[in-house]
Amino acid sequence: MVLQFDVSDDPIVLRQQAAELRDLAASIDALPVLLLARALDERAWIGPSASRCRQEVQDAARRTANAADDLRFHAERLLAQAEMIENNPLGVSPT
Amino acid sequence: MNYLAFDPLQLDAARRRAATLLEATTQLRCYDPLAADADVMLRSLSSRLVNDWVPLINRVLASTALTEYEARRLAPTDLQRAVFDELIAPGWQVTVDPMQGAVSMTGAQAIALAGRLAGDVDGRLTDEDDEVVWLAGALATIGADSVLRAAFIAVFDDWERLTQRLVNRRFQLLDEVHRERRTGQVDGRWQRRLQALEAMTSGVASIIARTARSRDGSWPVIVDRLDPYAAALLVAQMDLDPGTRARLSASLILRYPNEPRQHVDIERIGDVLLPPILADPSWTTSLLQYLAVDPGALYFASLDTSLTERVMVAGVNQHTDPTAAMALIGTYLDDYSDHHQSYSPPPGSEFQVQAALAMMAGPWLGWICARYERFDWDKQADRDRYLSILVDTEESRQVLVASSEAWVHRLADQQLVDTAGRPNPIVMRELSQTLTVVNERMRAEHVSDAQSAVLLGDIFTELTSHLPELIAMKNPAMGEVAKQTAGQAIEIVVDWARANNVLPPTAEMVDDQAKEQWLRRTLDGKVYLVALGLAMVEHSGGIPAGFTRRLDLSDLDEGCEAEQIEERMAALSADPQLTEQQRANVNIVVANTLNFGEAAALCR
Repeated sequence: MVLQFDVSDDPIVLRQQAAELRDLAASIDALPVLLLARALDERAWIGPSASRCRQEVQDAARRTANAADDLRFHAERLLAQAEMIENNPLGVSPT
Repeated sequence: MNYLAFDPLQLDAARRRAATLLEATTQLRCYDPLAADADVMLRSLSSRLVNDWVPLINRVLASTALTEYEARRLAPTDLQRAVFDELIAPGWQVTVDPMQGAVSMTGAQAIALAGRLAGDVDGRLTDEDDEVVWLAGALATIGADSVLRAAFIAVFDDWERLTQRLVNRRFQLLDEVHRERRTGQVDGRWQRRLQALEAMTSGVASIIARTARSRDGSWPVIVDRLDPYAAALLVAQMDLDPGTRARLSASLILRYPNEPRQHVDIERIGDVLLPPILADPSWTTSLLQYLAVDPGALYFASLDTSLTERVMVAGVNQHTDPTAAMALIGTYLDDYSDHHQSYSPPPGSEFQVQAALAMMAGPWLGWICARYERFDWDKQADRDRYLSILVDTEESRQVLVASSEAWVHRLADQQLVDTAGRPNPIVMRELSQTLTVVNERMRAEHVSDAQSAVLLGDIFTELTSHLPELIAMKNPAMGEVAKQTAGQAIEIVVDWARANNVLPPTAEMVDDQAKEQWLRRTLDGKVYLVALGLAMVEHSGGIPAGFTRRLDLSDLDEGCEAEQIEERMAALSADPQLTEQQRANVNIVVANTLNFGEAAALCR
């Protein structure tokens, strides 16, 4: 999957950008990092290098989860921006 | 070396998971600036999979075939397997860890190792060199980690047996190292084994030293219940504060079997304990104080006798508090006086207790002779008894003179003559009384005149060669000119001594008559000091130039009694050409070199 985005103030474009960020977050969530971490637990191997590798994979799993959360946060902000533009097309601040 | 155990089926499944993850990760790309962080994370994940994790898994899985011999070597009785055997299931493989590095361990592995060691009654688990190397690393890892330590000592507490095994093995290896050196066929093999064993000892020490409490108490309790030699090996390796090291080392030296003293010809307890003490010599005083209850325990505690000598000298060096130094010297000399019959050196040892005591006393010679009243000694009787020991043998006399250089240096720190040319009565008295007392004790000990002459000659040489120069160097107030001409003072006294036959006989001067004349002249060491004092004052301008030469003793063929010199000095000081100050200066020299009464009062 290759995604290409441009910065825009068009609500339609913004909503599309948000949707694709959410898709990317979902794809990252679906990566089998946690499955790999589980596959490398003490039932598979033990020893210094095994411990180190297991720890690194678990750290990577945490980082992927954080990255997906960040993408969803950005998507929410884009949607909020699109909604604001739609409600106030001239850009006049409500008094 | 680290080892790694694995279940081939499980790890192969993990490899397939890793491949799937790599494929999925490489397909994800995103160019939205808001997804930049996520993109970096994905690229990093791909990189770790491609470069680190997948290759590691592949190498481990492939190792069974490639390093099968390694797996076979790890037989069930091998110690390295201890950390895996109780954790792995049937079908697992053990191989060398592809990623080398410091031995690392889990709590469960530490417990497993402790269990194996506790059950190793006959020592078979540590009988191979590579096992010793591996165990050294494992013990160091455990010692450095509080969790691992706690896990280990919860299972293992048989330190006596383990450390005794270390001692036995150490002596075997030292024996081989010495044999190799004797035969000249040195290939370093035994030395390397010895180093590995020392690393293992260090690992044991690191666990014990950091164990605040064990089932049997804190680590000093553990050390206390070990054989003293085994405990010494551990204490030498422990990172202790110097005070604790001094106290523990002394207690172990005192516990070392002393009746009959062990004269091990390979290594003794002092050879192990004293080097770390000498790394911080300020604590040697404490060590000597702890050992004062039985100084004999120290004398033959080391095969390397220079260690004992260095400790004895450093413990009372010139930086030591004088009261502590004099108390130690007195205690050690008292002990020698009471037990010297049992202090003959063991076969093969060249350690001479008297000479070592002379090394301790030399830097304090002036204090022992002239300032003993300040200290808790039994006045003159103690002083005379101590000095008799110090001048008793040829070797101790030589050592006493050589080590008295430190005393001369300290003497020079004080002003023998001040910038106005006035002599310092306290220093004069210390100089005079020291030489007199040494001379007296040598005569009392029936030291032959020839030997007496040599000793006094050596002391005078020491004084004449160092004192003026040191005085000038250490008393800047005397000015640059005085520094440059410092030698002139000694030239004055040497000229005078030559004219009056008061120069000490040289080694070449074997003429018995010359020696006799010299001894008569320096009947009690005072004559020379009168001239030395006058010369120093003359050089500093305190009396007229050429005054010292006017003290003519050449007609006194039967010797120079103090009264005779006093009479002649009285005649000289009555010279009407002298000013009152100059006359006072002459009188100070006379009073403090021929008669101690006034100066002794000043010293108190």
